[in-house]
Amino acid sequence: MTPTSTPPPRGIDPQALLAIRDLELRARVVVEGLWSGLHRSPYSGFSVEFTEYRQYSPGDDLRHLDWKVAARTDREFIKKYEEETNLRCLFLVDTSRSMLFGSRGWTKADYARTLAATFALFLHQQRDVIGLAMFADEITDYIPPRFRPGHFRRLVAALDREPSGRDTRLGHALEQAALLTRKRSLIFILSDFLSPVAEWEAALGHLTAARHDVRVVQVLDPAERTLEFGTAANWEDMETGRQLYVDPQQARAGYLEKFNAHQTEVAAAFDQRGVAHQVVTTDQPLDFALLELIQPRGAARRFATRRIQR
Amino acid sequence: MNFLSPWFLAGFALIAGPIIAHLIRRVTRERQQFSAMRFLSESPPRLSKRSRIQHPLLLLLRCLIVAVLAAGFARPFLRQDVPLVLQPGAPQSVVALLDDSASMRRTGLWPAARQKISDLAASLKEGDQFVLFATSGAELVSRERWLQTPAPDRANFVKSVLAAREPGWGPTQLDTAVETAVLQWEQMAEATDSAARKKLVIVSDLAAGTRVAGLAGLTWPKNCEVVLEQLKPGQPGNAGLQWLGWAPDVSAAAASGDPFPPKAVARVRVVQSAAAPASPLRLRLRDARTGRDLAPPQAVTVPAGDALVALVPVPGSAPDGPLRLDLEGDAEPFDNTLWLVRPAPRALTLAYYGADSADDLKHARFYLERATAGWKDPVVKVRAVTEGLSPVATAASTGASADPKSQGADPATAAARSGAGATEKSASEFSVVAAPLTTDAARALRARLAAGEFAVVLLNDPAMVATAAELAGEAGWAPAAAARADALLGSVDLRHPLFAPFADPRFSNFTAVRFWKPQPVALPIGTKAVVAARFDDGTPAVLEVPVGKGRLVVWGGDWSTAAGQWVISTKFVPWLQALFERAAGGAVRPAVAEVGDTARLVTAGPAQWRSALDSTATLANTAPVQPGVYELNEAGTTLLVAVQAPAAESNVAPLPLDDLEKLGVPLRAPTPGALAAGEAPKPAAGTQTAVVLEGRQKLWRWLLAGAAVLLAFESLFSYLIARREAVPVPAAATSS
Repeated sequence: MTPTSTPPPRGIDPQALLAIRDLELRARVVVEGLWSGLHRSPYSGFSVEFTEYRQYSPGDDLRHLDWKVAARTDREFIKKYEEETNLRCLFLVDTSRSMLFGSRGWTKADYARTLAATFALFLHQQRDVIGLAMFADEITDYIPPRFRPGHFRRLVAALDREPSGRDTRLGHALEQAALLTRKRSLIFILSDFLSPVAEWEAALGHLTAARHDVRVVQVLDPAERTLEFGTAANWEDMETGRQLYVDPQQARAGYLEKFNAHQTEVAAAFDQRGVAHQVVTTDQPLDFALLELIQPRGAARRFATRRIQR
Repeated sequence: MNFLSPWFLAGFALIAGPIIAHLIRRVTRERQQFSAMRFLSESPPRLSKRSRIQHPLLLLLRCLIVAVLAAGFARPFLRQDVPLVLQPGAPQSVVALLDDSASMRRTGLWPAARQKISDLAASLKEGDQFVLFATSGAELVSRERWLQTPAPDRANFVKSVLAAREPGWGPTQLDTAVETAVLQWEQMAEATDSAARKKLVIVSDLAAGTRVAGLAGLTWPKNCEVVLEQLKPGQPGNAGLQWLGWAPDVSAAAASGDPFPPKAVARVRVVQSAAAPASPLRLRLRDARTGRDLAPPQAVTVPAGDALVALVPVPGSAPDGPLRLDLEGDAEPFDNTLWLVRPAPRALTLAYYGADSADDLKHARFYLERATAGWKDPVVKVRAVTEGLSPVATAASTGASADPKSQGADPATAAARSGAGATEKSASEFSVVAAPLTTDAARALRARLAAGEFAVVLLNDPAMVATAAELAGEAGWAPAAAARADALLGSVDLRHPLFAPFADPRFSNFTAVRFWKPQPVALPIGTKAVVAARFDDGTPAVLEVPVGKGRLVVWGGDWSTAAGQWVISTKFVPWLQALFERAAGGAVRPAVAEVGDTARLVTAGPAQWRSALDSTATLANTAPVQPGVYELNEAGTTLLVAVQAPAAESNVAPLPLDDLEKLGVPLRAPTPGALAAGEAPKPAAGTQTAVVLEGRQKLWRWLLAGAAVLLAFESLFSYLIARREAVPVPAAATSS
């Protein structure tokens, strides 16, 4: 769960990766390396083969009637189509102002967008249906889940757009996402989850209640986790503009206490709803973050197990 | 360590500025953006560090800069640097300068000066060297004579030398005298111990008229000091007379109702010093030789510290000899007399050889008369000469009517001139030959030329070349054909006296003067003629031939508008005047000089002077040393010169000692008692000494330089500290 403090030997240096300007190329770099490192795809069960026949009932679309079976057995069966069996995946990417923080030369938003694009490419290559919703105080860009030529490009183009830079209202955005996503989907939420838990906890509950498979990637800057950053100065909140004189040497202890309490609260909220929760820091190699994402452990494993059993 | 301006030391209080600045905790103005501010609480100010001084080294540097600047402005000096107390046994090289200028003739100055010198001589030790100079340059006591005299007799010897001495009439040229003193030191140093203390004692009234400008460039030897003994006169003020000149117009003075119109009007300036008592002044004009009053005294009122220009008319009844103008009512008589010599304009007769009318525009006489009219010196009178012209010329100008007056006067003068006595009057006649002469006339003219006269021959006809050759006394002159009818002066020898007035590039353009009837001359080989100008085809245009003492100028053409533009050009009159002045004996010279400045009147050769007031005086080779009227005999000419007392001597206000300090004189305050060795200076002289010491040491320069160096270090440290504390800029708001 905790990010590795020392970068693993095989990891792609985020600095080098994020220096690539093209988001799609960035995603491909990670995914290519990922494929070569994977021995067995955890999502092989998502195969797009034919699954079952079902008895025709009046009202069903005649286009889906298996005419061959009807001719041979004189019974009407509806053939279940491939796309129904495919995984629908929606990425909810936070583009609020707090995501624009970065102590390492790149921001959390950069990292989150790259992560989303990478995973989207990964799923796209598996012919899964991917969609995207970018939000700050509300959903600003929404690309419905599709699988069609050029869809991935659209998605990358939307991700590549500069963030709007508004305040975070995560709860509201999740409510909107719940309304937009009628079918059961795998929903990835990429955000820093720095806002109070109470604000978004209920909305997250709505998503899980709608039987969506919600997985959360909490993107944090290393400085946010340790406060090993900055000098005594007037510190300004990126979202509210509130200013405080902060000496990080002095404020560190209090900050870490509050921050860890918040993290505990966040983790508890996710665990309570069976939401896979992964914390990544922006200094972590992306491919490793991705591997952790697709090789579920702990709570995520429960989720994955449930999915495979489906 | 002492300070000249100690009040600047209050600047040390400014050191508090940097200290306070370093004590104040710097309020940060940096801003830092952060995302998780929700978990941060405001940090309390660091109270515990409030009293701590930030960057003590930087603070030290800044305090040092302020302190050094304040110390520099306070102008420090080291008193122990210069030994003010003489070593009792150390030998001294003392040069005393005794002012013997005209202003020392004031009441009480000369005895006081003699006493000062005597005291100084008496105070010297046996091993000391002593030289006494007068500012006029005379060596009163030489070093050798001092050393030869037994030590006990030296003071008496100096006293006896001074007893026979009176102040002169010259100006105070202190700079020259001090230069002499410095040279004397060098000689003393060569002869004896070079490390001896050098002392220059100047005994003078140090009036404002003293010339000190030359001290600026003087290199003072090491280990020397100058002691000024400024003498105080018995009478505080002085009034003086200064010569300005003769008024150009006598009509203003003539309008005063005088039945005898004045011969001339003298312009004099009456100066009154600021300290003078208010007393009525009178100007009295007298005959210089007999002392007889020529006019009633003229009262003048001059406010103290002011000057007034007075006009003194010389009555028509006054004799022609030198005059004197006295100022009465002033207690100091040395500058109260002016000697007056009236200008004597030189008369020069222009003998025009030609039968042309004075009103005929086609001939040179018309232009000559107009060009020479109104000259002050020489005063030219034109006389037409028709005798001796060859018949051809006379016949050619049948229409010309000769001037009856000049014709009538001519025979007698011509006869007198042709005689052997022509030498006496030779300098008073100038001949212009515009028509061919008979052989006899040419011979007679040539004789006068040989005696020193000048003549111009105008080649207005090819036949004139023969006349020119005859006058020059050379054979082989022939008229040459001009290459073109329209000629210019192609080359002009501006070094030749004929054209020297045009040597300035502003005036040396002769291309605007055209000649339509040039008459060049073909000269034989070995001629004495000097070509002063040539036409543009290379043929001679203007020649000068020395004939005995005189000169013959040959002009290749006529002087008329028909022959060219020369006579109507702007160069004609200056050229003519320069030539006439040469003929009259040179340029006009001033006939007034001051004592000590008479050498500029001597232009050539050895000069001899003789007093014009004393009939028994004999010619002497030495320049006059006192005011009066003198005859200057030089190269056969006699010039009457009025020699005045120097005008600068009338300015008896004390010379500001600051001026001497600015000129770099290593002054020591005048301390009458301290002339003897081993005495400390009086406290009253302390300020003066401090100024001198500080001016010589100039420690403030070092302090300012030190402040500059410290400032450079301070800048460097500040930069380093600022760089060390530079905040790594967060990557907020940067997009990938």
